[in-house]
Amino acid sequence: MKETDLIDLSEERALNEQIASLAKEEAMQNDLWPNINTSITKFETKDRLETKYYTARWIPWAIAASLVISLASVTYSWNNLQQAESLFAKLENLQNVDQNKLQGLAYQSSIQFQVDLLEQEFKIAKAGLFSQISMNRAHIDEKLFSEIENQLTDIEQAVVLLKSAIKQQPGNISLPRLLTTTYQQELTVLTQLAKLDTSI
Amino acid sequence: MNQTIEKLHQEDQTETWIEAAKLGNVKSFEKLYLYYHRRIYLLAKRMTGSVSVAEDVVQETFIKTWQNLTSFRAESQFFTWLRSIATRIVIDRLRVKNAKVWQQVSDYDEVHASLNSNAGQQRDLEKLIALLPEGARSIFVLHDIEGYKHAEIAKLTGIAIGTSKAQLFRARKLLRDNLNRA
Repeated sequence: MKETDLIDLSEERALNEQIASLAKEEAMQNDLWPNINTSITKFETKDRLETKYYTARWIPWAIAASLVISLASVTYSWNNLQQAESLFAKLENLQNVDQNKLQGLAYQSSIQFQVDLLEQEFKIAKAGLFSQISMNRAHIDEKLFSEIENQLTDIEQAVVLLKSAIKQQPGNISLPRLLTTTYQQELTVLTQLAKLDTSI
Repeated sequence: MNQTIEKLHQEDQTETWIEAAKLGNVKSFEKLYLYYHRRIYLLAKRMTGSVSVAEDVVQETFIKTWQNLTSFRAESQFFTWLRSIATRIVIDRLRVKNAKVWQQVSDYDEVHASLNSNAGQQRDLEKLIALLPEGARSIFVLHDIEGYKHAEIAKLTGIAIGTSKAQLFRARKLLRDNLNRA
């Protein structure tokens, strides 16, 4: 059969007329509704059961997980703040050292030892506060955060200068004091930053 | 049952039935079934050429419709939506049976012979349609009876528009030749 065959218009018209007169619907021999009804009722029951099961199982787990996360977060924050407070107390003690004891070399080496110890503890407290801050980062205004970062950089530069000065002038009593004050300032800034989330 | 259907056609509260069925009212959905199932059945029977397959298609269509009823939006006509579900089911079945059902053209001589051997029935268009090859028949039904465009058929079946046009041309030629044979 070739597609290029000429079409007889009268035949074409007759076909179109017959198509137009075709029935629009036809009765079925079998009533399918009972089967359909059974299927959709099953579907509905199954669907409802699945929803119940899902709700009953999912929600308690979600609540439990939220509680665990909240509790862990609070404990972690509390520990970090406690650590910072304890370091503050040690820094205070170091500042109240009796000036009369600053005479001998033995004391000078003791000061160096205490400065090293202080530095180690400061680093631990700082790391804890930093991890707390990173958790709060989403709640902290970006402008405020970058301003604080600049301040911290300035303080850290001062710390580096002070430490080298202490090494060069071990007998200068004012330098360790200045160092402890600088550490205190840095910790104050970091603690305030860490506490920002608790005020939200 | 016929009286019930007649009564439903007089009532024609399809919108109310749809809304109620969406809320889970099975009785309203039954009314929708009674109102539309005969049209869907005839479409499926014409496309597949089989009474039993057409009944399966009707059943599957209404079950799928119930499952997806909440996604139906009133912007389109309910019957158009229902028919599209049925059409997809038929096309999927034809494709499973023979992946190249719409590409086949080789059996036209056999169809001619078959139509000639049933000379007594040849004047009945419905019967002639049933004797067409599956691919050509389904495209003829969709285009000439249901009013689908070639682009829509091509999209539904995954064939080229040209293939759809060629199949329709062949189907119409077979029908014309046999309808006018005295």
